[in-house]
Amino acid sequence: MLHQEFISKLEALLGKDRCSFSPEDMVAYSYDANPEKRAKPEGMVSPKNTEEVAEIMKLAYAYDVPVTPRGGGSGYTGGCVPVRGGIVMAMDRFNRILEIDRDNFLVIVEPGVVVKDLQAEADRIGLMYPPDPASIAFATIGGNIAENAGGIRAVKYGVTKHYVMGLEVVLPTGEIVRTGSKCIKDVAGYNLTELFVGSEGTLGVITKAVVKVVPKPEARRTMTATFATLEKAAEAVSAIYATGVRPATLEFLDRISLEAVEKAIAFGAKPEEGALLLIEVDGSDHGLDAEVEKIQAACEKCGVITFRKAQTDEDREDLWKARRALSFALCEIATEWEDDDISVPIARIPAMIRKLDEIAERHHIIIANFGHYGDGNIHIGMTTGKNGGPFPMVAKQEVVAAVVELEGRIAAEHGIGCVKVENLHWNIDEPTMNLMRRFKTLLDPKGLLNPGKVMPEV
Amino acid sequence: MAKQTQAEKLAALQKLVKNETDKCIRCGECRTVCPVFGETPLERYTARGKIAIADSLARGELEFDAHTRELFDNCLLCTGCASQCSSGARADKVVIAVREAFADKLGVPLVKKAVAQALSLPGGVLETGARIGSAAQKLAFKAVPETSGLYRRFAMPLVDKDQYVPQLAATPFRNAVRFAGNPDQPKVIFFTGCMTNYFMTEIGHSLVKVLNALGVAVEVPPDQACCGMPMLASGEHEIVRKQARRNIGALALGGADVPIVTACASCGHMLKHGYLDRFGDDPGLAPGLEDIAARTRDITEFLAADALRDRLAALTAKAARRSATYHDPCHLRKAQKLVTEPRRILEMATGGAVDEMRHPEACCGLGGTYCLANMERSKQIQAKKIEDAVSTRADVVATACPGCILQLRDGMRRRKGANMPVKHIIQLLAEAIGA
Repeated sequence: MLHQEFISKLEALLGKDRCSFSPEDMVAYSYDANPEKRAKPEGMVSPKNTEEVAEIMKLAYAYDVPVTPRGGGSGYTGGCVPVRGGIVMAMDRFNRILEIDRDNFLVIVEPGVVVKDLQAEADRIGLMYPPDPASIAFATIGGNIAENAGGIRAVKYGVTKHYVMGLEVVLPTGEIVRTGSKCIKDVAGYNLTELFVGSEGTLGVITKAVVKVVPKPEARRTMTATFATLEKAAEAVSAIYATGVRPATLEFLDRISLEAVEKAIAFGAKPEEGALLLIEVDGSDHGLDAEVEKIQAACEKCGVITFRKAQTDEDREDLWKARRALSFALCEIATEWEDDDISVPIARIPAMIRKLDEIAERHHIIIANFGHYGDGNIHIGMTTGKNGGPFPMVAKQEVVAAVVELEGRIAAEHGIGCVKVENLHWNIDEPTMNLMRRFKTLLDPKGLLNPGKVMPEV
Repeated sequence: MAKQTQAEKLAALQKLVKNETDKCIRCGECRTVCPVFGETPLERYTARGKIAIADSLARGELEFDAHTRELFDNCLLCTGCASQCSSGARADKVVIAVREAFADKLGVPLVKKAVAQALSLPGGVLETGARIGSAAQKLAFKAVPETSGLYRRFAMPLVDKDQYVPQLAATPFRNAVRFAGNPDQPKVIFFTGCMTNYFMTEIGHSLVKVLNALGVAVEVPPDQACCGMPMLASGEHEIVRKQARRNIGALALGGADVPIVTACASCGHMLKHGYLDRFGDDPGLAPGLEDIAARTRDITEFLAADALRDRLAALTAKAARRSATYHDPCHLRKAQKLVTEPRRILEMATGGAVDEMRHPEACCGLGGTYCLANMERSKQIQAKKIEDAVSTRADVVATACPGCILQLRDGMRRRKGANMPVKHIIQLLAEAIGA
């Protein structure tokens, strides 16, 4: 139960229309895109400037109230689900792009800006903000930074952390700090920016960010290549990298994903095709055709079955169709899926898929794999099928063990949130976990900011 | 149909809500398309928020009180969220169902009731009152130059000093036209909608003129009633059921293969989807409603079909070039997926490419009676639209829904220095093909 005094002080600070304690609002802030984790907060606040965030944190500290910051609420791991109650801090009103600095290739944004809007603003003046997760149309930049979001262009352009140059952060205890700068080379002090990027809202509330943008590539080319097996596709990927070409995007679908999509939208896959690569290159227009030729040659050397090139934007959409239809197609196989998001060093992808096949066989389950081949990030869908029995949870643990054996990571771009907390020890050893805890305790001695996330509590 | 008990009503609500709850994966895709959320970024206004809250309501975890009602009333039913949703969740259906439950428990707000009363009686208030009303209206309102609208002369409730009020026609369109064209030619049935029938009759006359010029006869069934969208939106589905039954009879005219055309995006949406969404499980109505849905075409959709397009191009070949921007009515673009058709027709009418605004798809903020019950937010949404339209500096704003026209004209009046005329595409087309 929130203290009445605490409620009154919040109302005095924000006005009654920017905080709520009503039961229906508590329902509306009880979820993100994770299908299972729900928890209702006891209140919600909607601050609109840094000072308000700081005041709210001070009040929360004075009254021992947990605070869960929230961006677009589009995460998959329950990162903004208020599992310890308290209040949700909705950052939606921080929705301004404050400055686009074309000469210095940077944009200063508030955290509630939707990533697509940031991309569109950059695009208007010939610039590009590269991180491109599937949720760009509704996820916020604050959430992307807090989760260190990835996306389909990571293979060439990297992930969110590579584009955050500086942050304004409100610490759990209410101090306002500023990390980083507008400078590319900057060794003035510790690299605190990266401490907050990917911290999932457990160390501070981001209230402003300086993000890097790059010149927009003049053109791009899109291709798909199919192979009999994922091993053959893997050989092709190695062959592509050996040519010196660096694709911007390198996505894959395994056999089960491919079959599911074919069944759903009949895009023309042949029965002998067991893997599909979706490849994009971008850069200056005149150089791209040569890159496409090199990629095609590399694929042909490795037994490509069908190689398609997009000539127009319409063709491009056509090639993307299979990838985009995937989620929908998988729902046709089964409605209940256990999803995971893992990564391995890229050369280990075939080994990882082999292990997943073994797990599927051992537990009589279906495993569909797809994702970002080029950066080693596999999205795994596991199910017992449409009328299958309960899912054997031990299979999930075996996936984790396989990931670790191949020097992979149990979370690639969806965060730990509250759903992978108990598995973090697979990747993070005890001394390192202790160091993380010390950071957390230093910044948030009472453990009130987004409690129950990332690390198991001692 | 036998009267449902409270328990049956609740069970029906639970079933409908569960169906959509199961589809919604709470990804948040709906956040960016909601005009209401755009003004007030609170999760309860998003489609997923409404679906989650409706789920709690239906399961008895929340009360049907005025506070909860507010958020369900605060929806324009633009269908933006439903058309965007990758999982096909229909928050609009949920909102309508929940509003019915609220109407049942707490009654219908007066202003919405009044609109329903005016529109739901064929031969009632609006029709018989048209002649007197039209004259009386002139005493209370001053004419708005360049349009057929008015604004008030003295203070009155729900109408502020800048409110654009459409003028009640002395002769409703359906009284003026029953059949136009050569009886030997192919014909269409014209579903006029209330705005065209009572207020913006020029839209109806333009439609007749264009179709007749193309060699298509127009029949206007006199018995047609309001499509029922405003009542459906207020939760008064029993009135809508009666309207639907009446329209099935009225539109049966001419046989199964005669197209029904409409020049109102909301009427079109209602005829194509709204009736079936609500009454598709009523065996007495479903076959008739399916027939209506299959035959209904928006006028721009009808004209853009291959058979007529070339003839229309010939008729408009000498159209004077004028610059026009286009506002997508939500119920045309999002609900009926008609995006290129109206633009193609508009281009023929104005002799050149559409001067696109930045967000042609953004809602105008009318939302039927939403603009009366939620005036402040409606005006905020309207203001953004007007700024966008004005920034194109086009000669005219074209659209394809009388409701949007009303709202855009009102917005033009309110915005300093803006005097862009707002017209239906069919009016511009009638102007382009001349006498």
